[in-house]
Amino acid sequence: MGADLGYFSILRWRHDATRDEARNVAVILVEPEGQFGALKAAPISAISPKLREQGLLDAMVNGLSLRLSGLHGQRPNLADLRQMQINSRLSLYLTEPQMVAVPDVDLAMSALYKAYVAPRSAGPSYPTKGKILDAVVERLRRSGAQVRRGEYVQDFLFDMVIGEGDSQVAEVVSFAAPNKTWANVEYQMGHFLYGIEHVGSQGVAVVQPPGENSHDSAWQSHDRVIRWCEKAKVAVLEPNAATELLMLR
Amino acid sequence: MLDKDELIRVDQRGYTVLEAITPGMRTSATHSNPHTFVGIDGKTYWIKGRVQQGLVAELIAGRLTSRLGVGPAARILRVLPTVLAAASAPAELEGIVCGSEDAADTVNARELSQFIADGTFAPNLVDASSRARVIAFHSWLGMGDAQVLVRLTDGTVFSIDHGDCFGDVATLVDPTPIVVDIPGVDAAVGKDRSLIRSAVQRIERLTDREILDAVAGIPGGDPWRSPVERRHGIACWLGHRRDRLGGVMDAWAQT
Repeated sequence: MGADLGYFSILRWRHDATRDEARNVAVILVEPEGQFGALKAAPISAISPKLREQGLLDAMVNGLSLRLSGLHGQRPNLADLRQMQINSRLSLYLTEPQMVAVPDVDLAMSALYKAYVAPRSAGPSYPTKGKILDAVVERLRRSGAQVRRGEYVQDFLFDMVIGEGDSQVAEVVSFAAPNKTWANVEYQMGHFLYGIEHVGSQGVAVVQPPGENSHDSAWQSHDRVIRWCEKAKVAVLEPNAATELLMLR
Repeated sequence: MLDKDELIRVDQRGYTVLEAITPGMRTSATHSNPHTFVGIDGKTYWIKGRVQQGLVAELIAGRLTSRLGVGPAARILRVLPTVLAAASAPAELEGIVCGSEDAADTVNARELSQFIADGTFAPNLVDASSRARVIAFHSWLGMGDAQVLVRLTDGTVFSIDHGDCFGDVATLVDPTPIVVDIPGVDAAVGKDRSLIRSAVQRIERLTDREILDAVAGIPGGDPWRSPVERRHGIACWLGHRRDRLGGVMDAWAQT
């Protein structure tokens, strides 16, 4: 079996600059002359639980991913990767490029991802807000939408800002956790509804209903949030239908 | 039945070779000077090109450890010259070699003292049942230079580094108990009749066919030392000792 030669770097995130600890965010693969390239990232929610940090990481990863796809200009080669590594520093940085045999780009990426980036724990089995946000952002981008995650519009931080301007913003909430109290989720939705009144964008709520084993309090809170959205004339979608929000614009 | 013709027939299924795609950049100062590589399956392997009793020993024992749940699995890997060069690894690691899966959060018991000294690991965490399983396994294989890993998170004990077994399989000898010293841990941890009995039963439940599967499908060549006659001898030796292990270990556990 013949194998092409590639080079890979790991994108690492040092969330506390005072400590020598970092998490592997993504693996980047390039061919020395730029014949192929790819990026595979861990779910952003698995890297940081903080929405603003998620936004910064997501923007960086998405930008690199577009660059490596070669769809918007020349695909980076090894020299570019070395330069990116030299330029990267502080909290988000690249490791020194290392040689890898590439019998098949997808197989090699999958192996490198599993070896260096994949979270060791899958996290909770129920759909958390972070997991839903990961999935919805990916689905919207696959549909061709421009999505910015964890971004401020004026003075308000939104889960998603969709489109080129600030025309559409979205909030994701999940009632699927085995929680008994839901005040924090209600506060999030209250902040979202308050925010959209002030920024003048169209708001969409992506709401994961409670699961089979959820407490009654989850349904009570869920129904309360749905009533708020109806009063505010905010569209409510379930996560698996989230791409429909693109048709609401 | 541990029949040579049957082994030849099983051999005809061939074997799977995993490609090593990049160096893992870790080495160990043990006899076989292993280096880590990432396989095309995304797992990291400690790769060896030469061991005391041939790579056949490392692979067969590694297949048995994973079958019995007493240690990391062993696989056949191919290391290309370009990958080897990037690792600055010795030439003997090039080609078709043997790799043992890297076990996360583990240390060789020989290096455990420093983790005990700095408070990272408490010796009383060592898991008695996994140690009993490893004692039974090492005794079954008659392991020379026996070594264990200890998982720092829960004290589970694993068997590793199986290059020094099956040195002389021509004479069918009964097993003798082999206990690897773990610094700071009483030798009696795991020496419990019911734990040893349970560990032995796992080995006794291995069928002749499973032993044949473990010794079949192995590459040839000098570092492997795997002629069918030798592998058949290993199978017979394992079968004999499997059937004698219970009595020996039961008597030892009562002393």
